Amino acid sequence: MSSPLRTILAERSLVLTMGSGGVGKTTIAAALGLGASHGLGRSTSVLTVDPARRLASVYGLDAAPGPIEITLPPAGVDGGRLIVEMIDPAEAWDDLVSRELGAGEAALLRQNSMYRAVTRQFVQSHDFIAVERLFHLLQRAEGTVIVDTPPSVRGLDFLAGPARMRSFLTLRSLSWFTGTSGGPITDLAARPFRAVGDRVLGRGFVGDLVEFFRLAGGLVEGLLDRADRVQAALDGAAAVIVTSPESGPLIHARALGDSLDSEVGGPDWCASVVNLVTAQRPTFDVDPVAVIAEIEGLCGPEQGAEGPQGLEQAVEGFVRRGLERMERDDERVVGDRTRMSEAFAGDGMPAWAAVERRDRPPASIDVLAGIAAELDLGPAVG
Amino acid sequence: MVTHPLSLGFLAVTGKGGVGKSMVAAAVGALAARTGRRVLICDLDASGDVAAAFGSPAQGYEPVPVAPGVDVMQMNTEAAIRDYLATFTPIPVVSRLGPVSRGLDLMGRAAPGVREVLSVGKLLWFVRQGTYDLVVMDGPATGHVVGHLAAPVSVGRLAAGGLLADQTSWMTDVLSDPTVAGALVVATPDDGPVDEALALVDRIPSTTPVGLVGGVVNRMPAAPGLAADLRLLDWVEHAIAQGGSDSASPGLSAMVGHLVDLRDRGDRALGCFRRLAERLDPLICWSLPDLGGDPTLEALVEILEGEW
Repeated sequence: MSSPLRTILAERSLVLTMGSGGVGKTTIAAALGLGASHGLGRSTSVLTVDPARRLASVYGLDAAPGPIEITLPPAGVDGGRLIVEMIDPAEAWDDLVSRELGAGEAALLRQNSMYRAVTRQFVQSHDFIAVERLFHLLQRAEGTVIVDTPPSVRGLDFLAGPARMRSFLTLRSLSWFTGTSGGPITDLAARPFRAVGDRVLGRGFVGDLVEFFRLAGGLVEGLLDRADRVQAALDGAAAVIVTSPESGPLIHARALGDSLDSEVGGPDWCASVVNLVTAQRPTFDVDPVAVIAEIEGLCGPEQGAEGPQGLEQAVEGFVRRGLERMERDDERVVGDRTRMSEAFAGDGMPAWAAVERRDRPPASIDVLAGIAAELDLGPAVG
Repeated sequence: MVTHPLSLGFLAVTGKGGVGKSMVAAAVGALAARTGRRVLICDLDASGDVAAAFGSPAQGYEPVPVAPGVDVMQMNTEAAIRDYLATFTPIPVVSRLGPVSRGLDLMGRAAPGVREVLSVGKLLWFVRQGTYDLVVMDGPATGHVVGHLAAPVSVGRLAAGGLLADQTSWMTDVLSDPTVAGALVVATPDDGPVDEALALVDRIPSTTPVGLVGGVVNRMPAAPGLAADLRLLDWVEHAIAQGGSDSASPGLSAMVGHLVDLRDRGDRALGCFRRLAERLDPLICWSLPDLGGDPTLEALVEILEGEW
């Protein structure tokens, strides 16, 4: 019997990790990548949009530009290969422009203040370029592609990338309003708009904007065509929703899953991972009296400096407060588990798996292998 | 002299995703309302988290009361653009429906910074008009907030000579007045969130007109006992280690193991707290305790009231 995540990684060519910020999506994407390559022997790529290039550090590597091939641990399933790629949006835009436009136009566009602001400062453009990179990855990749989507409470923002890219780039229609298409009729129609546009946004800004769309026009056809093909690929994709056991992220995770289910097309909600779960302690009976006696037995003369009475009181208080604290923490763990099961309860709900909280963010392939094993993606099972 | 967060007119709550920004924003707002101030909290990501903290369903663009003295709204950039055009542009009503309006609308969406400036502008307008005594902006994920707070300056520069640029100058004035506007960085005591908070401590003053007013480390784990308990714990741990693994009963081993884990986690959390606190110094870095996976706003407000 194969676990749901094994099945997803073996059968789907595109897997997306989705969820709100701070729940460890990048870690889970990295562990899924390791599981698919090392545990299942698949050729695997992991893609993330992250100027800080944290994906590399999760694998214990220094950040480097471009794709990195990860050296897999020994004793994996044959044929596995793992490549990770971190997109720096600003760099990716510059690459795209150099590739698609003539040298002269590319240089002009890169100097355009609007272009710099769009690609550097304003994050909506990151989704566009992620989709663009994803296209190229899907073209050349064999096996499994795992995409760590940008954090978002709604999660679907990234998927709306192609659609928004279309509406953004078809703002070419602005040129009609701004009167650059020439012709006496359009210029006449553009006049009131241009007047208002200049008045509100300033003549220089509107000029820059018009210039931006004129230069970016050379990118439009290719971008739209590739966006359509990514959209088609997303239809067969698997979504793995990542969350923490806290109530807020769980509510968002469930809402995200439900919205994926209700969408026609787009990725399917195939599994959920609850990350950062506190491990359940094995239960046992503690007799406080016996434990107090045991500690007193362990105590040497230096502990009895305050006299036997003082020691007895100190040990009693220590044990009482210690056991109370354990009880409280156990209740909390049970509360987490209950919230997790309730969030993903229901007929036909995709399976979910828990991953334990680590003391530190993963920074080595061994820690990731441990997480992959928790997700039942290790090479030994199957 | 740094203004206390509660006496500001505009407070931006910032930090990495998942650190409890919305809960902190809600608690600050609720606490300010207790002192009689009229408060608006804006959910810039429109996640519904701020309203949820008050036990209310997600609200819309129009502010809605969720508690005595506290209104909540969700930002909607399209609505903010329309709002702006309707209020400020010299377009006759008739042509607002036509291609001129559509063109401006498109341009508002396409022109970098315009969405951000109108979102922040909407909130600062409330401050300027005195509609509310305190407007709390529950910021988007790290990085994005810098775009919002810097937008009046960058749009003012990019769109020089236009009406919008003229209007950004009063926004910049409000944002750069340390008695009126400030930013609070929020983190949890983990490496990633503290690194992001430290990046914000650098970036907010250097790339935006807004000054910092302090930090909050949320979800600090409670120490596993009193000071005397911790001394005894060290000693018992040591004695068990010396005696070998069979020297303690399973019950004692489990209890000591659990408390040692808590102590070590507490030490790491304290290390993270200090990293942020030292960088913020002389600004104050407050800490809020870990209230579990489903914290209540009342509990957080009580604790914050004690701290502040």
